[in-house]
Amino acid sequence: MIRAIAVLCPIVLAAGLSACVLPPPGSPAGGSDPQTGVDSPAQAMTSAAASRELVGRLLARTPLLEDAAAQAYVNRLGRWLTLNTEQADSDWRFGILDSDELMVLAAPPGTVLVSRELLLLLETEDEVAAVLAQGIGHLLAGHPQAALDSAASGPLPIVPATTIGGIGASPVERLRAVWERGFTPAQVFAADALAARLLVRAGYDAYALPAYWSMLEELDADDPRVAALLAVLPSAEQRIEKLQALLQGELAGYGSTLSNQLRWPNIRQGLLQAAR
Amino acid sequence: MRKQSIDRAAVLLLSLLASGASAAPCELVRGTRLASAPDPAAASGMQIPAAAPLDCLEQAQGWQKVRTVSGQIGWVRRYQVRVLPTAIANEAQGGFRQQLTRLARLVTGLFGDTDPAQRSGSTVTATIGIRGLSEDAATRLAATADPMQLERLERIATTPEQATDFARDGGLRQREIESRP
Repeated sequence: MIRAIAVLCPIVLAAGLSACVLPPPGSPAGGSDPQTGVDSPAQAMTSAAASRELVGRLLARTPLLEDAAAQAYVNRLGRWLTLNTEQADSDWRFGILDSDELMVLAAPPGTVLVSRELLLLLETEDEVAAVLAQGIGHLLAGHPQAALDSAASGPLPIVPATTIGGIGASPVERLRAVWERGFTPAQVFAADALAARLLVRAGYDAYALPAYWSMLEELDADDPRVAALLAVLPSAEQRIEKLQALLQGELAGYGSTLSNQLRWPNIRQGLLQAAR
Repeated sequence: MRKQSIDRAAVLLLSLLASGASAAPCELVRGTRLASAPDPAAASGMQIPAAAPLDCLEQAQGWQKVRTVSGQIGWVRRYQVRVLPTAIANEAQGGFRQQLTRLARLVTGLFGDTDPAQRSGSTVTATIGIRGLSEDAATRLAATADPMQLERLERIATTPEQATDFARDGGLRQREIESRP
């Protein structure tokens, strides 16, 4: 049965929510620069609370999926990935949203949320890992801080700074504004590279990233909303071009070490039943 | 249908074992159809399963020309093929066990559900749409946070020990790769 769904750009959305302040561990108290509006560490702490507030408001509309096995699976996979990062000891949270849309959200300091419908499109555990690794990559790269700094000090391209997200706006509103703007292509490419390295370190196949991107390109490209999406994001072609040297150089020869090929299909089957 | 697949696998087995070395070995990352030209509008041909061994020939504007083990030549997106390192390829060409491993993956692909359009439950269809970003921002957030949902998010979090067990159960092996350039 073919079912129409509303799809939301996973990358833009990931860029959006992850475009919140990532407070550095052990940040001292401080304030916001009155000239630039850029946060000092104490303001960053405030923004971390704002990030939690934003996630809470999101979950109020789109709750977590009632599937304990699937939630445990995603949490364990995601946590395994983060154990292979330099922030292995940080608090990390992963969750599946009970949503028919396609989205991945990454919110500081370490929350990655993915929709049920997006997971259903993935064929292998390596691809599930790739989706989570991208969210983790943005958080590890500290892109949220840069995006928030930019939002605080300059005009917003989508929403006027006078109405939302300008200097002096509340952290929640500023974060929401950054949500709408997303990351720069350079930040996306950087997160891709971090994700590829992370996948290989954790025993997965970095080629799952381009496989995932190519799957996204199978979406209806004639849909004007898809065209709008492509206009604000690097194309899969550009992303693979940037990643090519790494995949064929330092990461060459590292396929997936996963031997239990059945656990993702089993989880996916449960998600399918929930979707029906 | 199943017999055809078995016959095809048998032909591929013979080709694989007989062909031995290939000049530029690569394999398909994800199942796709061979295109007749490096163009999204080009006619598409036979379905190639994920992990199918290929010979990579030439490249053109993001496309890779490939030859299958049965001799079919066509084009796939460059990011859909994994270029196998020479050392690994040489080992694969010389090692019967490697050949069988790759064959097993190939046969799995043949019998598996590799066509995206046929994926059970897949919603990748012409009916897909994407919401505008501004619409999303206006409708996605409630006025206030849901504390119970936030608490649940905390509750479902896993421990490093559980994550390590998960990796062990899956046979995942860590590799020594720099986490940053």
